This record gives sequence, C-alpha cells and structure tokens, in this order.
Amino acid sequence: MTDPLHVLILDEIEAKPGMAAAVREAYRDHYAPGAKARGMKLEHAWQHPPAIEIAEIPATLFWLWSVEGEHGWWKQRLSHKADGSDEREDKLAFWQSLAPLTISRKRRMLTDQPGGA
Amino acid sequence: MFVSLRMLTLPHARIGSLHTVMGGLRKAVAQLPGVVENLVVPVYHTATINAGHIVWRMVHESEATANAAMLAPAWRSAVLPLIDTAEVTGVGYRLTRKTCASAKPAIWRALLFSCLPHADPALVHELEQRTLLLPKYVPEIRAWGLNRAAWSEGRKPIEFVWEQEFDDVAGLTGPYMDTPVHWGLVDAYFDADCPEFIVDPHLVQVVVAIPESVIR
Repeated sequence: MTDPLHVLILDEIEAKPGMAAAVREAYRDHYAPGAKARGMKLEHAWQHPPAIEIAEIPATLFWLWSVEGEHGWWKQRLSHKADGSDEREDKLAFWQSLAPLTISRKRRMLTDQPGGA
Repeated sequence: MFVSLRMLTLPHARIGSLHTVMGGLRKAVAQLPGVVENLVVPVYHTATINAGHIVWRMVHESEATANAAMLAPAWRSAVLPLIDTAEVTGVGYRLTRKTCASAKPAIWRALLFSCLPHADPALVHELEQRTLLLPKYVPEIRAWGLNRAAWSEGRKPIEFVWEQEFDDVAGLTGPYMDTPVHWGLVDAYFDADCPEFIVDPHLVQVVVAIPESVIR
C-alpha cells in the first residue's frame, strides 16, 4: 500500500501598503480556524519583505497548508457547516471581506517534484 | 444534433408513481415529431446533486425540430399531464464539442453549471480549456461532451453541459475525482477559496445507467 499523496496548498496574498498586519490578523482569526477544522494543517507562514514592516510598499504574505491524499483535499474542499449546508458561502464571504486590504492573491496546489529535490 | 435534457423531481406524493411516469413519457415521445433518440431512466442512487428522480434526454435533428416537438399537439395532450406537477430542470444544447465512445459505457454523468454574472470571460475560457484536459488524462472517460446551453429552464440558468460516460460509477468516483488535473487545476473555478472562483455554487450533477452510449 502506497502512502497518500502529500498535497500542499499555498496561499499568496499581496497586501496593500500598510495593510499587512490587518491581513495577517484577519487570516489568523477568521480563516485559519475554519481551515484547520476542515482538516488542513498549517505548515508555514512567511512574508516579504523579510523581517520588517514597511508601510510605504505592498507586502506579500504566504501561508502553506497540507492535506493528506486526494481524500484529504476533497474533504476540505467539500466541507459542510454543522447544519449540513455548503460552507462555500462562508469561504467566499471571508475572501470578499479581505479584498479591500489586498492587491491580489493566488492559491496553488503543490506536490513534491518527481525524483526528489 | 440537438439535445433536450430534463431532470424531473416528482412531488413527494408522486414518488411511488415513478415508473408509471417514465412509461408514460416513453409512450408520449413516440407521438412527438422529429425525435431521433429518447432516454427516460431513473436517476442513479448515488453521486448526484439536485438531480431529482427522472432523467429524460431526447435527441432531435436540430433545435428547430426540438422546438417543433414542444409545439406539437401531443406535447400538450400527452407530455404535459405527466410532468405538470414535477419540478423540471431542463437544458437544450447542440452536441457538437464531443468525443464518442469506441466501447459500450454503462454510466452517463452530466454536470450542469453556469458562471456567475460578473465572471471574467477570460476565466470562463480558461475553465473550458482546462475541463477539456480531463478526457486526455482520465482514460476512464469513454465519451464526453462540453457544450453551451441554447436554452434552460428551472430554478437557475444553466450555461454549460459537461457530460461523460464511464464503464461504471467507480470511474467517476475514483479516477475522475483523484486526478490532479481535477483537484489541482479545474476545480479552482468551482472553489470559493480560489481567486479563479466563477461557477455558481448551484450545480446539477446527474448520473444514470445507460444501455448504450448516448453521446453520439
């Protein structure tokens, strides 16, 4: 039996100048708890520029999540609320609330390269 | 060829008459002009979303003959009495962008969806192009069609009909869902967590058993 595919989910969010702290706080408080409840494991969080807050320019924030296997990926994707309804409206509401603070964002699904690093 | 596809949801009190309704529809269609093929089957018991109870899929020579069938006296006298209490989700489309099966699939599945009104046309085009990658990388898809609706009826508008045929339902629930082309590329347009999200969350996914290929 082979191990399930280790799937990484990378969020990359470009915050408007001076908004990085607000984006971080919103993501931590209003997105991350739900993601964890859907089975996503937070692996890392990074930022650019490194190690400093510069209010005059945009900042890029990264969050790297993981799920185990295709089943784990679909579990977070097809999640339901406690009442059984689709959770997509809540997810969309979060991203729409974040939009005024950001310039752009990406979400990419990643796996290890074949043949190793 | 032009397809008119309808999903019928019977009122609770009429679910017991499912087979009577299906038999009646088969007989009624024989009285309609210009129907080339007719499939009336119960919706499969798993892997469906908003699909109702009965799939009714007619193939006509053209959109004009499909319209003529709905204007025929038999439509009013024989068809409407059978479906007048059912909730109907329907879509008409030209079956032009397709690949037909070389073998004999046993399962037909369709996903009916529409893009949100503000959707960027470039993203809609991307969604179509990426969806078309699925048959290449999922050999369990024996036949497929991805076509735009000419008309639709029901609770929400339908813009696209993405239909496939498989040898069995495991082809849909296994390889189709597991391919990274699906979860790593195509699904972003359906996923509210992704900035590419453009597909209305109200989907219709319908699965039925078929005696022979219907994507022709």
